Amino acid sequence: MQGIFDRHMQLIAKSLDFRAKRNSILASNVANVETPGFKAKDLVFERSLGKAMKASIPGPLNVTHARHMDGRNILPLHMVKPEMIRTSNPVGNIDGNSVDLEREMVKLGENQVVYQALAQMISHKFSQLRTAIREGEF
Amino acid sequence: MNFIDAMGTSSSGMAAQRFRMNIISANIANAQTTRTPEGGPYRRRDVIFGALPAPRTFMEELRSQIKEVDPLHVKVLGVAIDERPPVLRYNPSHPDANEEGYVAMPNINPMEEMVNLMLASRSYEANVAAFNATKSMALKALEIGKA
Repeated sequence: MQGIFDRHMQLIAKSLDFRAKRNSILASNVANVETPGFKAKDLVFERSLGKAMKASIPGPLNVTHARHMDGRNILPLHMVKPEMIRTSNPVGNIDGNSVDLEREMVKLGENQVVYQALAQMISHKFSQLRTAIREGEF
Repeated sequence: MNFIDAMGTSSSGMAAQRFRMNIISANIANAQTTRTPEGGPYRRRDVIFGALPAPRTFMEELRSQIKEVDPLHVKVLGVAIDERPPVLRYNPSHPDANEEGYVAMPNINPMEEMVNLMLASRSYEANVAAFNATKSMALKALEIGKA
């Protein structure tokens, strides 16, 4: 454990940040549901995040300095950025708009639920810390 | 501020749909109008939507070197006049009838207007739902750290 705010907390904070960004992208898809030529977008994060979680595993090359490369090309957790992708829509609109409203609403709902779960998790983490600080007293 | 941006996006969508509803209402209301300031019968109007990045101040534009994720707002780019020719209806007693007794009436199909009105109102509702999702997320974020 590194300090009282461990990696897990950093991971939750990063994910909360990502979910908030994704929410604004999805809201813009919904707002542009009838704009001709608008292409629906989405953010993906999980793949690069999963890679970053393995960053503490030593790589094939030995490192003796913070700026040495270990030969794996993995970004540390705090540098992971979400990727913007275009949502594919096989049954696109005739005016070039590729927003599928139902799918966007489902994504919005899912994103919202996960955000709330993450917020609850981080609250729980804080209350655990608080318990530890008060030596178990309430 | 991420949540405020998302709310702004949703509200731009709502404003655009409401503007569209106004135009559709004008089309329905003027379905029988034969005299207009520009002359001739009323012509059907259509709204043109465009996706634009959120309006920013000059300083904000300077500070943002990274164009990573910019959610696009909806903007009403203009109102187009439908070029369909007016419908000629036989009504010799009408004051605007021509020599053969035909009146040029606006080419407005109430069914078409109603379908567009429904579309506008559903899109408006979708934007409200997106706004509510953003709001509940923001409220949840405010709860972090509360005992």
